[in-house]
Amino acid sequence: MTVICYRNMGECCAIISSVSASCHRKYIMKDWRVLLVDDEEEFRSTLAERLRRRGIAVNEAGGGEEAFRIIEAFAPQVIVLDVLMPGIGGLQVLKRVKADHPNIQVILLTGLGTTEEGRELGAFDYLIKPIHIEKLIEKIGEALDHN
Amino acid sequence: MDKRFLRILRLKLVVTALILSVLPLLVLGFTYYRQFNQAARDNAIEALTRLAQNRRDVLQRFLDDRIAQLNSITQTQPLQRIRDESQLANLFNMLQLQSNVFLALDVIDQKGDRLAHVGTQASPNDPLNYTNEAWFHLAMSSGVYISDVFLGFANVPQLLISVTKWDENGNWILRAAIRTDIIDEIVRSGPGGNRGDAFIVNADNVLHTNSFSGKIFGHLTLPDFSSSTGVKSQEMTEQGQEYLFATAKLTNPKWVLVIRQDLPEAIGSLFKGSNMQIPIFISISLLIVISAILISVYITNDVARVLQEASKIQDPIIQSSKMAALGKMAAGIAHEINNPLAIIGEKAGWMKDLLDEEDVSKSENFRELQECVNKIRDQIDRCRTVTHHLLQFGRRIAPIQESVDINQILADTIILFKSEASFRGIEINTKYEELLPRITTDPTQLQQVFLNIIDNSIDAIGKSGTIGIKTSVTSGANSEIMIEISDNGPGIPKHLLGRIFDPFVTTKKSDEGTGLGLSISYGIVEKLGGHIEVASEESNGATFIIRLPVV
Repeated sequence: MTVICYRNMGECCAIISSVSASCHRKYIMKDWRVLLVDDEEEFRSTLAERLRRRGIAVNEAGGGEEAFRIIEAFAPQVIVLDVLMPGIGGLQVLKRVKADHPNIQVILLTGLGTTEEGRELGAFDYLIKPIHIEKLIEKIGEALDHN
Repeated sequence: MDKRFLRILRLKLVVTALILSVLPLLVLGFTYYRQFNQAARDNAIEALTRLAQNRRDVLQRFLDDRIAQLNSITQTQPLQRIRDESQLANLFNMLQLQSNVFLALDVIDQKGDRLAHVGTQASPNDPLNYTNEAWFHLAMSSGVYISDVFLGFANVPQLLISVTKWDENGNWILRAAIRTDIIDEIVRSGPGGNRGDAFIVNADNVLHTNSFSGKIFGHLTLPDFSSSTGVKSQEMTEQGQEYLFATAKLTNPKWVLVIRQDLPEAIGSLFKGSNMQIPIFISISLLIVISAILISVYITNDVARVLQEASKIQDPIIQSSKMAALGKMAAGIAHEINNPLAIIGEKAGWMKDLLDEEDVSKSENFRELQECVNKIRDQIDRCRTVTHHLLQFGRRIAPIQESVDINQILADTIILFKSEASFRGIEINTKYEELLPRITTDPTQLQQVFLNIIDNSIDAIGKSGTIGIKTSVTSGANSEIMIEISDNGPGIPKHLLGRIFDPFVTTKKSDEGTGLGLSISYGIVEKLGGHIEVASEESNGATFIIRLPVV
């Protein structure tokens, strides 16, 4: 059994088999900065609130333009990005993000199954709506590990 | 195949072929018949005209010969000698030797007195002086006179030929009574056929020979040929019967020779020579009809075969384009549902988060609320399964290309079902082709196909049964790998067999399957350049055959 203690957390996590990953993340999530970009406000605000409840620092953007502004100020590690949006589409946002900030990982959200192009443009992975929040958190964790 | 369509096509072909071939033949035949008929008619008329002219000439020559005989006597014998009846008898005998047609000879002087008579007994009514007789004056003025035929004293039809000798010592006449049966013979030898007739009429239209139209000396009522001149022919209808009449006018006496011939008989005799034409025409027509039918049958059979082959080719094309359209639509629907579903999911999640955080466990409705939220999440998951399957069916993800061993993929897949199969008492038999070539394809997507089909087989069997998995490879230029997955379950109902690869077609209960597994499998196999088909009989299991190109 391995025990990892996180600094400034005051808690230690016993890493035993499969419990290890979620236990591990529960403590490091507090350092995560995630930007959620989706034009569907009801979905975006609820999901953002739920992520915040889990200790993740989440910022929201309703479209591409807004997202770019927030990126500069907020410097997210991961962007959860809807593909189909009016105005600047998700794939365009992805392209620009990867060009300007290659270290930011992007997880695409889609209601449609077409994500091959997204992968080619450098997206870390994709999730098809409706999503399980646990799956999203896991994916964010993987993206950060990847970094 | 539409049998009615083929039957109509065959009928159309036969009718068209018959119209195009028999109609010209009929027109040709009709034209030919008309022309031949006209030619035959013209020919018959010409022949009859020639015959009438010929008979007239023979008759005229007969009379002219008699005149010449009498003339030779008047020229050589003086009246004094000839008025002696014994001398006249000698001359009569000599004439009879030349031509046995004379009945009597008379010598008449210019006063009209009969000077001598030999031959048949003269009629007691015959006057001894002829000055009051019209013929005497005519003979005296014109030199030769031929009487009409009359019934003589001995009831013998005869005519009189009078020849006048102009002499300085006094004119005289030699008159001969001549049998006319020879004239009958000359006239009768003309026409042929059963309805043919020939006769002579005098200037008063009185019959001078026996005829079918009437007895000798009878008055021919209709038509009146007495005024006819020269030689001519005409068609006439008598009592509904068509006849050809040829008339030839004699110069002296003023008789008209008439020959009648039945028109159909006259033409028919000409047709006799060409009576092969009708059998030939019938034979050709029959040949055309048989050819038209045979050709039509051949063509329709070919069309049926081509249509059948085309449908064989088209069926997969139609199926594949139908799948493409369905895929597009399914993806669109999934997307439209996924977005509101995502919001519902988040709201339910939010409620659950709140319930988890708040200390509402004391609330009497806490359990109820928690259960509701869980149920909402369960149902969202159920919807998600459907929409994600729809997307999987509809999306166009380029397959990964790897060199794979199909036997290995199958073996890996079977392992996943091992525990479930043994739990249900299902035996999975495999028969792998050992020399199966490796092919370049997408192993993950292919495994998905095998998973779907084997999963269906297990569900179909239910409890205790057998699943057979067999691989083989076809030889030849376009060699294929064949994967057969069969089960001894209840089989696919006949009404579903043709649509089994369509989305949402399932034999399972609504909460057991989405009806998308086989649609997805179909899409994957097609995308990998292969083909999937199914054979099934109700209550006799089902066999899925997947063919993949060896590349």
